[in-house]
Amino acid sequence: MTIEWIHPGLILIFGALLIPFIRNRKLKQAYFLLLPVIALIDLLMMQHGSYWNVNFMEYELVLGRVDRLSIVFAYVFVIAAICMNIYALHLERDWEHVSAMMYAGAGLGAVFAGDLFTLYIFWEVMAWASLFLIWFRGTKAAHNAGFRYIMWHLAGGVILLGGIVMYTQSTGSIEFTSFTQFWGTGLCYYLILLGFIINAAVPPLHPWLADAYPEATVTGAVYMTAFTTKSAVYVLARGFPGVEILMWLGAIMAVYGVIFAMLQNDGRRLLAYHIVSQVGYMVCGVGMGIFGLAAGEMAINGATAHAFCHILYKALLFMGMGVVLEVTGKSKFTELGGLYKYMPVTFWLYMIGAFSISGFPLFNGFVSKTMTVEASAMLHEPIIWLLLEGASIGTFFCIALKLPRNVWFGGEKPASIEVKKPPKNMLAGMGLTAALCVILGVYPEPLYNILPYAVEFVPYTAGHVIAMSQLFIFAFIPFWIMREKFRGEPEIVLDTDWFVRKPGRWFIRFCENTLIKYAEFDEKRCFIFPALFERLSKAIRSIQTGYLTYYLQIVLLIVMVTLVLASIGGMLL
Amino acid sequence: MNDLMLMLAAIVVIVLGSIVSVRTPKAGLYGAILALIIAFLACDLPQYGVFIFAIAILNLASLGALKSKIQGIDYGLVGLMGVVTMYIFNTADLSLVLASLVLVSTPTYLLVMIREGGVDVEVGIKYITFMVIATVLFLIGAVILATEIKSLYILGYVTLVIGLALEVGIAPLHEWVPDIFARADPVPVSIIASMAKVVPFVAAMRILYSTSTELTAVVTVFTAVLAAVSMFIGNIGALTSKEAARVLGYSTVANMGYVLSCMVAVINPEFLGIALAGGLLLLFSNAAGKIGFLNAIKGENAYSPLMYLLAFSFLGVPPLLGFWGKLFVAIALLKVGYLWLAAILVINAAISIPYYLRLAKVLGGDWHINFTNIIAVAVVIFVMVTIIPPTWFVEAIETLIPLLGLTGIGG
Amino acid sequence: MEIPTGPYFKLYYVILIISVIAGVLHDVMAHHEVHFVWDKIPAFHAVFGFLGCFVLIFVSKTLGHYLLMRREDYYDD
Repeated sequence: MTIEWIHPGLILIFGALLIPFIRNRKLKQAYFLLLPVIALIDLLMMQHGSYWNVNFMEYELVLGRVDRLSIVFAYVFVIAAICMNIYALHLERDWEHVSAMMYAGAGLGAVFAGDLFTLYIFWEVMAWASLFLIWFRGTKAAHNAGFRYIMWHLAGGVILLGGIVMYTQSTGSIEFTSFTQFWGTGLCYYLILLGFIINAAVPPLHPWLADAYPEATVTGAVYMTAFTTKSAVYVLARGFPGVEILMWLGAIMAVYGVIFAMLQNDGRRLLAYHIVSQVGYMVCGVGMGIFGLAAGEMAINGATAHAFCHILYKALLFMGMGVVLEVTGKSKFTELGGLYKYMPVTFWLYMIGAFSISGFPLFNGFVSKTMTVEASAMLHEPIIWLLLEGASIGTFFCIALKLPRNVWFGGEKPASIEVKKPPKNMLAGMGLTAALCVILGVYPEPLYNILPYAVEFVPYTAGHVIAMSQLFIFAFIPFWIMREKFRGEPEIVLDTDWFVRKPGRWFIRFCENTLIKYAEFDEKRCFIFPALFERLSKAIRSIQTGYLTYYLQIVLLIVMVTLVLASIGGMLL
Repeated sequence: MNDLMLMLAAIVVIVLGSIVSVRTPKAGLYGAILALIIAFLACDLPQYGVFIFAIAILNLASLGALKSKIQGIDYGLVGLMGVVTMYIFNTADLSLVLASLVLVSTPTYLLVMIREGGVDVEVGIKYITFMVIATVLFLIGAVILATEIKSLYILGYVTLVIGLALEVGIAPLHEWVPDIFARADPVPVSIIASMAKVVPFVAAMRILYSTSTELTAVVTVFTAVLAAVSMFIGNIGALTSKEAARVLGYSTVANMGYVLSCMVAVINPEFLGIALAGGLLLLFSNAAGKIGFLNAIKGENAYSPLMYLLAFSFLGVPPLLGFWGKLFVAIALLKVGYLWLAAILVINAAISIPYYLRLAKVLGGDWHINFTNIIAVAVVIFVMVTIIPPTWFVEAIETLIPLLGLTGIGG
Repeated sequence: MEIPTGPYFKLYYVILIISVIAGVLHDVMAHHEVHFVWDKIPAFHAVFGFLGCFVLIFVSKTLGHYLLMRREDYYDD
């Protein structure tokens, strides 16, 4: 028997379960590095097709749908997992490795799922596995944030499941194909889309991301940047390409994330808001991906390529900020500053990520972001174009200017923080990721070759290069003028989760003050006949003597009397 | 017969799991879960089966909080109750329905006695005495009704309803309920208050429906009065009790009164569907609330918003599960012409506000991640599934009405 | 306001001027597709970067200070 296909996600999921059983530490580390490498080899040997079709009740589950769209996401998931595993190699806690690998494996499972049921299962595994990456931080804030995180995802999961069930009932199929042509014909499509965009962190359903990611463990946050939102982008690209509302949501999202990022005081929270912003480009690209149009194909390519590049540079940025957190124990701007002397390597590697996310020529963000923006130009959508291009300015501003200045420069290091040496594997992980960012930026052909549609786009034209350079060079002037205004402020920024969290408090307060007061009042006064009530309640309680024989007497008496009456009644009627 | 085979397979799985569990207690749990899955696949009415499945899983999970002497076998017993409860709509045979009743009732005899590291025989004796009388009366009533002798109809009807009243704890035959709730361990009580209640009601409903004659309209007044008395006694008793477990006991008496009131719909089969759906939803919301509250009594530190949400479900605040149950039952009562009973139901819902809120206040606290809260979150999700109005459930039950009649009656 | 004059800044000014000149030359010489009205403005991206950055700063700071920013224990009560 030849094995035609092995599921790379299951390699990671089941492979991860063995980690705690390996006693030798060196062996364990080697195994941990090897896992995603095996998955990568598995991916490289794969042919397009549909594998592992399982009959379940009267439906057909497809665990392995390999085509041009799914394979791109699978590649980048596995490549990112390799880089992240190097970065996380020093961890002592086995179960953190296990949950990280299960999380990555579930991401792969979601990407390869050819039917909605399989997708849903992996969707849930992803949510639960990633929850532990937050909880392992061990702080009270992480505990609470993790709880809110899973509540959002549970709600999203229930909505998605509801949509899937309704879809299956109305069409009789569980196949996961493009729903675009049915868009607007039934509630189930709205529910499915809603479930997807909660995971894609589309405002106003995004606060879980900015709330939870900064509270995750140093390495856990790095994993989390890659899988949840990008698998959501994948399912959107698969299920809803060319649905116009996504274009608008995506473009608004891109700017929304930037505006909120500018106000943040926590380095990792700032980066988290940029995930929202960057995913906005992808969602927008998916929304513009009208089938059969050159611009639509370019938009889907742009979204896919951007997801690929984004996973790499966002991981790199979180790795950089993670090293700062690891060596100083701080991530707030108000508690950091002047660290360049102590950690120059981290700084430069971080800056590679910063230039990549901004979309600077020679870095990988440039080769992918310009595609989506170009698609909006080809579709003649001026507002979309302005929003996307404007978000680029803010991205550069926050990530390449504000954050580095507050962390590595901006005066002397505060005396209160001690700088340890970062573990070497963390820098090695960053180095590998940074190298990939630069290589793809300079030589994007390998990426372009695996995109869903043939690429006719040339990123390195004089026009593009000059335009992006001008954008960033001139955005520097406002920053330098206002630089002192962008020191950290020790405050939090409210977001749409206010609408959930504050009413939650009000609910408790309402229950405890108003309702309980009412209840007490009601108990004392409200019964119209207090004397009768008193006597009744005394009678009811006086029956409860606790003696079995006494109870039996009552019961038998009642039974006898009613039965006698019933017999007489039966005879009379 | 295919589904019967599957059910038997499920029961075999439970038995095997229970045997193995003498050595490894977890085997009983896995066996029970597997059996429940098999039973769910065999269940004719998945919309109903999924609720029972969820309740059974919650019951199994809460058993994890109890270190009992028969650990392993207790999982099997709960699994058995779940399997039988799922089967109750599949069969149309009177003897199988009665067998189901016995099969659901007997496991609780053993369960009620278990407590932390020992056995409470005194509670057991009290409970078993009542249950035996109840089951015998129920069976006698069913047999009398099945003979279809006209002069014995009222006797049979009343005997069956009294048996039912004793079995589930409907006033004035409720004496065992507050005592058992206050004395026995909260975990088995939560099982008695949730899973064990469904089959007696459904069985009684099916038998009364299949045997109804022109006398039914007269004798139904008896049921209605019993229901009204039970609501009042339960709610007043709960209001004036201090101990949380005892309050829950009286709350069960009141809730069983609400459920019993849906039995009057037997007089007009047109509205039987909505009445049965309402009664089942009430049973489910009662089950969820009892599991959540009793686990909060057993453990400590339940999160107070969760407790308040459970209280709201009991009170019938939309869109929680309890609201829909009460709504459907009230609609059915109005349609079949029992206006006064519907009014009493609404009045009683209002009377019950103070004690549920007080219960939530007493049992609630700050957020911690512990076993109690995991159960509480699951239960709250359970009562919140009806944010989408459960018309689908009513529709599913209504398709069932033509199949509700039993064979083996008459002759 | 004082204009900074470090060695890095001198380099920055050089790059700035080069980018503007290159942009204008490109707009004049190369024939490129016009999608929007502003594609005809020379060095549009320079203006857009400069103004857009101010707009973003203005919007976010206004939103933050008048509506969204709260003390860190806001949710703790």
